[in-house]
Amino acid sequence: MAKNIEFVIKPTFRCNGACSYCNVAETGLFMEEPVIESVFRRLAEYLEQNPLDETTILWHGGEPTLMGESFFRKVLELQPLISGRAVHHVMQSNLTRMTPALADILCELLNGGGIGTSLDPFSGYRRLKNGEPYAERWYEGFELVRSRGFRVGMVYVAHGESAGFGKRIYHFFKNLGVDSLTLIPLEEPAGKFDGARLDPQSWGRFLVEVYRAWEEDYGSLPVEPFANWADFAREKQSPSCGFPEGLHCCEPTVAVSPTGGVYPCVRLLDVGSGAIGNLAADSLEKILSHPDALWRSRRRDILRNGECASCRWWDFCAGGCAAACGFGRKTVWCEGYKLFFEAVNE
Amino acid sequence: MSDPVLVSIPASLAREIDAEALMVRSGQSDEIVSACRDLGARVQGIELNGLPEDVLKLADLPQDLPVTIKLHPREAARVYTNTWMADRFSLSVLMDIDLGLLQGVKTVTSASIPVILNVEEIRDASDLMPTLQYYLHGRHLRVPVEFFHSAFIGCMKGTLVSLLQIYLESPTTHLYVDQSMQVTASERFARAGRFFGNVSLGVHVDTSSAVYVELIDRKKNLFVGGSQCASCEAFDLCEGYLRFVDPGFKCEPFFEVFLEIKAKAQEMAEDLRDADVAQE
Amino acid sequence: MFGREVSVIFVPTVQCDCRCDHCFQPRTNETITLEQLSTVFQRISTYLARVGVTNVDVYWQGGEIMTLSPEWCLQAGRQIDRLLRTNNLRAKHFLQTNLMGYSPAWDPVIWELFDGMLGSSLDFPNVYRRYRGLSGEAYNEHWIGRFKEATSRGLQVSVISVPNKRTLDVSPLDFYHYYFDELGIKSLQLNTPFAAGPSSHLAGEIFLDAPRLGDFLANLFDVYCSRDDGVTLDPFKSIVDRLVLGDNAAKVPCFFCPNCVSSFFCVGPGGEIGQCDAWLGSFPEKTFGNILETENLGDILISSNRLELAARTENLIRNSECLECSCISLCNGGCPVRTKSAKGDPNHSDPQCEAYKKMFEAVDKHVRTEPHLWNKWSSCSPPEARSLVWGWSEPGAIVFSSFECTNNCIFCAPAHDRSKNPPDLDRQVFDFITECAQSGAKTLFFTGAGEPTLNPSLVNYVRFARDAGILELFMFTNGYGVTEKLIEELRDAGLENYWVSIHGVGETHDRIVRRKGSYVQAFRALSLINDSSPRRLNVNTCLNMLNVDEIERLMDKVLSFPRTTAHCLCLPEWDGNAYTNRDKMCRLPYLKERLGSITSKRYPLTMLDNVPHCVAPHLPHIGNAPDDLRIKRRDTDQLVSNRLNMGHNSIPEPCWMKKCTHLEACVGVDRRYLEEYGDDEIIALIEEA
Repeated sequence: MAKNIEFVIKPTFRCNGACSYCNVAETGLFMEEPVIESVFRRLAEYLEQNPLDETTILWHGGEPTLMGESFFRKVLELQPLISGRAVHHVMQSNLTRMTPALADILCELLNGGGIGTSLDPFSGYRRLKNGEPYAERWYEGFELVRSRGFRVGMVYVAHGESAGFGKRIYHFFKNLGVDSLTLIPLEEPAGKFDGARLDPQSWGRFLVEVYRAWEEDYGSLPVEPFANWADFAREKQSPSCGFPEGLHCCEPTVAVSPTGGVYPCVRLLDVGSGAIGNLAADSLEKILSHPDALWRSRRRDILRNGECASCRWWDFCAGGCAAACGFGRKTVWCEGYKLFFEAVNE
Repeated sequence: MSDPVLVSIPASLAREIDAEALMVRSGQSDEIVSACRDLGARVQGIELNGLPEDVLKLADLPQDLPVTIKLHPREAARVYTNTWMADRFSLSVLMDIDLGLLQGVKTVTSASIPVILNVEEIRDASDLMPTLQYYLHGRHLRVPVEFFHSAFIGCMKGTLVSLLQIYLESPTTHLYVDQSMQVTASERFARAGRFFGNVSLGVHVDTSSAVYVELIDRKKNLFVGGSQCASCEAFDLCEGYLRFVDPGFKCEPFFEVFLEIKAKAQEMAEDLRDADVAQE
Repeated sequence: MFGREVSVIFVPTVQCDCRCDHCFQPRTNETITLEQLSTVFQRISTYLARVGVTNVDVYWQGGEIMTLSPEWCLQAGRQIDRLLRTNNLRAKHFLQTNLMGYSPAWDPVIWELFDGMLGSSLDFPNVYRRYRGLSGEAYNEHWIGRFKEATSRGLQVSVISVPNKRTLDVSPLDFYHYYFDELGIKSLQLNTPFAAGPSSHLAGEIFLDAPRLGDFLANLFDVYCSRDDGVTLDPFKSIVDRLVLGDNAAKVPCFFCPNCVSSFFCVGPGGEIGQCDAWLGSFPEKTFGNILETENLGDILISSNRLELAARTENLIRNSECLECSCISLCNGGCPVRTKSAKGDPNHSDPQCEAYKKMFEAVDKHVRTEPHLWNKWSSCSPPEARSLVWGWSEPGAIVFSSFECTNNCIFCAPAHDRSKNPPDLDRQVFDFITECAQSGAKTLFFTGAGEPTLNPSLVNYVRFARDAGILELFMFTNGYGVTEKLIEELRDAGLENYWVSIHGVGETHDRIVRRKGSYVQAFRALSLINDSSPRRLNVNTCLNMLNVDEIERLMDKVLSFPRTTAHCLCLPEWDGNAYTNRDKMCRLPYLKERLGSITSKRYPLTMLDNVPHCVAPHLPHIGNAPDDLRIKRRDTDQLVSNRLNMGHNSIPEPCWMKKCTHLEACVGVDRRYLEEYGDDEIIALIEEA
């Protein structure tokens, strides 16, 4: 059966941002040309054998735009290796280093794919290392990519201060003109974050607030996880990739480090734990056959028969994200999700 | 080639100002007629302040010229005496938002003349919601009442139209010259004493001035500056227009009107969808 | 203080052959003289042109127009036209008559000035109308006789009915039945009654009980909706149009317009200017001035009487409860003269206010609850910009389907070719159609060295061509023999595209085609074809010295038909009659001068045929016929090349020498014209270009 593979390539862990809740361990590594060549050759080999598989390549970081124009020009040169295959590029960037020249190159690479980005309407959380105002630089980058026709998805990290402001936050992003909004809770460990933290109940209430605003607004701005859940409730089909919680995470995920190391989850790559191979040495076929490549399925089986056995919201949650709670445990946000599901199903 | 910037000038300064496209404004017919004679085809429109007694003198102006009559609601009935202007010009009434607005709008629209609510001239907005209700439910209304109309139709079609698109205030397309020959974006900016240029034969704009930059970066400033407007539920219909000059402006009556427009447009869109489905 | 369009109610006389009890006109015989008329319209024309008016509708009212002579009216109408045109004003005339004095002697006037249309009045039952010794039912019978004669001669008669006290005793169904079923009227307007001037003493009787009248109108509207038989009944239709299509698309009666002062005025037989004939007749003290005494109409239009009247609705809004009424935007306060006659002061609401409210309520309910009905009913789309539609599916072919003709046009090039049709013409035509179809022709034009309708086989030819697979079929006609029946037969057989030849207005056309009455036929044919909603309706006009000076008059008439798609102005080949009458044909420099003032903006359907490009480079030209256009005359005829108008023309030497940029598209100049006048004109034209 054809698979959907999510490649998350982190060409660097370096970032020009200094966001207060970032938990990525920054290293000075940048992906070198031979590594990116290997990644593409491995992917090409694999797709030769599995031509029906669909691949999404998410360029992630650190801040991927720090790789500069030459890197992405090189990526463009490698594109013919996978031409004719179902490969889509998307990117996650803080947009603060976007230049017209880079935007032109990315426009060609992403070819209609979107850019995910982050902004916080509360000041002080998102910062730049050079001291410049994050929001202003972000806005300039945003206008630049919008002018090139990119679709821009907003990833909003909810924290303690967000609670109680769900409606305003929803409208803030809608008014800003992004194409979609994805809500995620501030996960622990949250770097050196010294602001108000979020507890599961607050997360649940925050979701309810945003959900009500979204509903009142006739769902005009697609919001995840609501849109996926709504589709699921309507169609009774498994929601698509995109929501980073539990069931909705793509499997397999191929998270690639700057040196070509492969991890089955982005969070594992961020903490450098649980590698399942290296694309410089291993074929993708071999990496995907590693027992931990499909660890999420195993986790789901354990939870379905364990602590989540009697949960009526299992289909919507599937145990949630394992990043903060460990392999065999349900999400730490469980009570929040329950609160949300109960509230909106009244 | 892009359209030239439209410069609104007092008619009395017609001979002092050189620009390609001009909007001439005055409360005196003589002044307007004389300005139009001097400026010829460069006049793109007239803003007539009130309906002066000698308004018949405007009969000498070219046919089809866009003419806006700036009118207080209590003067609305006067348009009936001057319906010849509707036959002759592309006519609309820019009506101050004050007590009696509903009656004023009803009068002008009954004479089949479109109304634009003057959001630069808000004295009392308590009639705003009843006027919207008249726009939404008036049985025989056949001409638009702006901003209601564009906002409503935009919401219905999913292509939002905000105050910023209805009340043009961008220095790249519109300029306003006041009586002292200073240049800004609109009358309300002039009233607030915020200018970014002057007239010395031609119209000179200082693109580095704070006011100009503020206007150009209007949206950016709202979002990066922590304005309440950025997270307002009605932002898509207002875009911060109402509080742009005076951040303390009490916009609640407008906010309610915006929400009503959205709700009614949604109802209408659903009704039309249902009707389409039923027809299929 | 007017828009682009103004109506002038023209009362050339107040003398009348009727003595109706409810009439507001004074019983005098005052009539304007042609000399006075000239002064009046010269002054009106000058003023209206100065204030940017472009279109003037002249409503001829009486008194009774038909108490004047047809000759006088024709002369007066032409004079008005000329005076308005001098200032580039486009005139359209409308006639209101009691019809009692109608005779066919009026037809030339009605066709030339009023395009075959007239308005009349008839009440049911008749209470007040009197004509000589006739009153009551006898009056109506006489009127019906005149009406039938007029309609039998192709005239369209619309009718105004004024309800009276007995009307309200009649059921709306019977009322409707009387006008539309029994009399066959297609267009009726109900006006509300009022008593003024000589009829003031009957006020108590003439003014009707408004609620009762309202019930009658509302019920009549219901009948109208339920019948849905394609007739026009106003003011209902105009109110629906107003609600559905907006004010610009609706022809709203004057008493419901926002302010009648801004859209029309009236001129009386003594040059007096007032608001309308009712004001002039009923309240002469309220006239605005006299145009025979004051040169500038503008000075009259700012008279205090007019300004007071202009402020009437404003006064109503300020001082009455009208603004509280949901109908204010439909009635706008109603009619000031009715109000003044009923209440002594126009600054009150209309005396029939309650009746109107009931009527509006009925119409409003209908529009809201029966959208499917009014969608169909009000199917007239908002007026659109007219644009030239030209061309045909190629390859095309032309077949001469008659060599006989009713006319003997002064420019007829194939005049020498006219003869009895060959006995085997049918075979020749059928063979040609078969040949065309086999060779892939997509379009076929039925024309002739004569008039195609004279050939009884025409419908068969059309059907045969359609069955052979030629889908686009055209017919040229001078209008002779074109009837509703023929149009229907042709449509059923497959023909929906027409070329109608009209060469001037009224007598001008008749003089050019040299047959009296032919204008009426041609114009009527145009009207009938227009009403049949053809796919194409093109008009062909051959330019010559008899029509070129008044050509705009004809062009305006052609444009007034909503279905016309092209108006082709052509020069004849210098052959046959055209050569014989060459002194009446146009010289190119003069033609250039005349066509210079014609623009596509004003005449969007106009195009030129067989006119050298440099004569009018600003107008569209048909150009040369395509080479693969097949032409069939008789078996015995030798076909000629299609290039340069079938070999008749040539490109003059100077055009090559001067490297004229239009060479490729130009039709050139007729060889015989060049022989006659040499190259000098051409050289001058090229140099001017």
